[in-house]
Amino acid sequence: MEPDVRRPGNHLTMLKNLWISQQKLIITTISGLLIVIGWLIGRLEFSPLLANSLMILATVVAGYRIAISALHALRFRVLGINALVTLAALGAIVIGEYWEAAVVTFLFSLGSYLEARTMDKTRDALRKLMELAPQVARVLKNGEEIEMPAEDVQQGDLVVVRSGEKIPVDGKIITGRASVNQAAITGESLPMEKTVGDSVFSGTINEAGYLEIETEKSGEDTTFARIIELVEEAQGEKARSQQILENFARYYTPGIILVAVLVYLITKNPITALTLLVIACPGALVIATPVSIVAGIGNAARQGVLIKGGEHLEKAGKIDVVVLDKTGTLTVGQPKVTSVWVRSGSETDMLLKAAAVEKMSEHPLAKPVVEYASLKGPLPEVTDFQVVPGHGVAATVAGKTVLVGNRKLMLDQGVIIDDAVEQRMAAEENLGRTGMMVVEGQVILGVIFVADVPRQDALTLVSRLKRSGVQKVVMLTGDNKRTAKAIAQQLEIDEFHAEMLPEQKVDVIKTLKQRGKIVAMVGDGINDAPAMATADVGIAMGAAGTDVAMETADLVLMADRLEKLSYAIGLSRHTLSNIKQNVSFAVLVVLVLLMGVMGNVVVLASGMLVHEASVLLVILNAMRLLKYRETN
Amino acid sequence: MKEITYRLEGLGCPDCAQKMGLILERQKGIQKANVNYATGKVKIQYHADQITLEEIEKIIAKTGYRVIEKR
Repeated sequence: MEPDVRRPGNHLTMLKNLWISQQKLIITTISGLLIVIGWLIGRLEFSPLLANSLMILATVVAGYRIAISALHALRFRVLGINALVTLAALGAIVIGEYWEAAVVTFLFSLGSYLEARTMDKTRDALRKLMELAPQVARVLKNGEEIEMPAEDVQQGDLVVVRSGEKIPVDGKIITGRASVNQAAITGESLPMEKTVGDSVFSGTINEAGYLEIETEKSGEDTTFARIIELVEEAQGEKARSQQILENFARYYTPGIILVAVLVYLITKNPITALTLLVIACPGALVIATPVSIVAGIGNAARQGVLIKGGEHLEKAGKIDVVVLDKTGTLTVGQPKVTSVWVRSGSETDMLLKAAAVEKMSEHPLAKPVVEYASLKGPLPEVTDFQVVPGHGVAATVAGKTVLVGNRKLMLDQGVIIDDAVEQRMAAEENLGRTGMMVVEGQVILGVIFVADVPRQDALTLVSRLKRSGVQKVVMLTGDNKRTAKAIAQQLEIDEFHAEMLPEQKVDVIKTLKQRGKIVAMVGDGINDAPAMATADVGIAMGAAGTDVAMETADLVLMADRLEKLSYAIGLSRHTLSNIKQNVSFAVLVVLVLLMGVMGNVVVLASGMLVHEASVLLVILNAMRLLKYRETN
Repeated sequence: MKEITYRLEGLGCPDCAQKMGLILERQKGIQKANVNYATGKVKIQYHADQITLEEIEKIIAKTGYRVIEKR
């Protein structure tokens, strides 16, 4: 039934709701108005009694809730900031400083209203992410589409997703193709083409196309739900420096009351003692760290980067050395044709013949040759195919024997490798490439060179990392030295270790750590798990959909993109310096206020103003982190 | 030992958040109460045979905050 606003009873409930949602603002406004009126009356010297009464009324309006909170806490034998403010306001009234009492309570109440508002904005970074969670799914059962809550979809159910809709489950595409925007998971705004057999994630959007998806995970088990859970946990986890501060604050408030009493006994000045109560509230200091961390983690989450908590974020902000695994992280992981050298005849002719022979082979180096040559035209017919293990392949093409393989194959077959060919081979091999000679009869037609090539995004990686403050980039690989050196040189990597076994990777990291460096290990989170666990910060890349990687790493890059690495490290460093700014600013404010009190410059109202302003400044400074982007 | 997380409204100042944690931890049956001002959440570890959720929620209400979500 529609609520009827015209009925007086509903006006009441409306007022009540307004009161519940905005009581801090209402209280603050009323007390502020009372203060202004009281001040005007006082200035006009109209009636001091009325002016003072208004001030006391303002104090009561703004201070009532503060006092109640303080009493609640006191009932549980806990002394907090509310008690300090209440004491200060009461004290001020007792000694006849009505204006001070009113302004102190007003400022405190205004401050906490503004703080709650700005904090809600900071907390929103995550809430916005959660709103992306899909609500409904359309399941195909017996040819009929049934709409149901996304979390009720069972494993194996067939889900239909049309253009513009959100994908409600994790699963595999059975029918159809679509361009899918995965920003909610990976932070990448460019859509990806997906078709039959590809995995899709809950929370991503089908921008154009039609999909039928076989459900693998739904509800709380989806990658998206896990991300939300991990980010929430991460924001709750406290950094070490934060814990120290909180323990300190536990004894701080009672200590301050004691000091205030002592100050009164010594100086006999009640205002100084009361001011001390007000300005000593540890507000800015206590929130300095957690606000920055929540803002930092919130920014990261929207970019598809999970930081597992304040402590990991602090460590990531201090990374000196980044260690990466070559295959799959720095290189594509699949060999590609890098160059073709023609000795006699045409390049196309040679490539087509070589590819025709290699097509029959299952050797890993055969695939790139076939792929490369297929673009040139149709492959010729092949007979008498044979594999010479470890050496190459041979077959008959157009009545002539064609050999494709290494030096050994040619030597065995009596092919003469002259100086020109040998020189070319050696030069390319020093670049980390493997040469496959193509021979027709006894004539060398040319050489096809293949190599595992660097990923496109790896080319700028080292300079990006250096810019984000990393001193050194180290590459580990199980490959031979020559290949490793070639890649390392091309990518300007500082140090490389080749022919590594998994346990040796761990040793490299241990050695780096012993030299006093903060070391990050980047890997896929599964093969590199031991090395990642040994490092100060374990970073898993391309982890969307792999639960193990999401669990074990300290920092998780959902997308398989190296830019996210320098972004994550840069953000951590920014967060760390943001925390430092906040803490030093908060300490400075406390010191200045203390000196102000000692010198009788700062009194109750101005002390409260500075205190509340400092808390707000700390929050606003932290909010800058929400806008952090990597500069190119 | 069980665990529950509440999202709270009205956590105006960090000091109040922390004091609420202290109050909760002084209750019989509550092992640990971790209040995070920045996220507005409190995570409580408690013994279900010594204290009920209603009792915990009542204490939170008495300290002046509202539970807006629980998990």
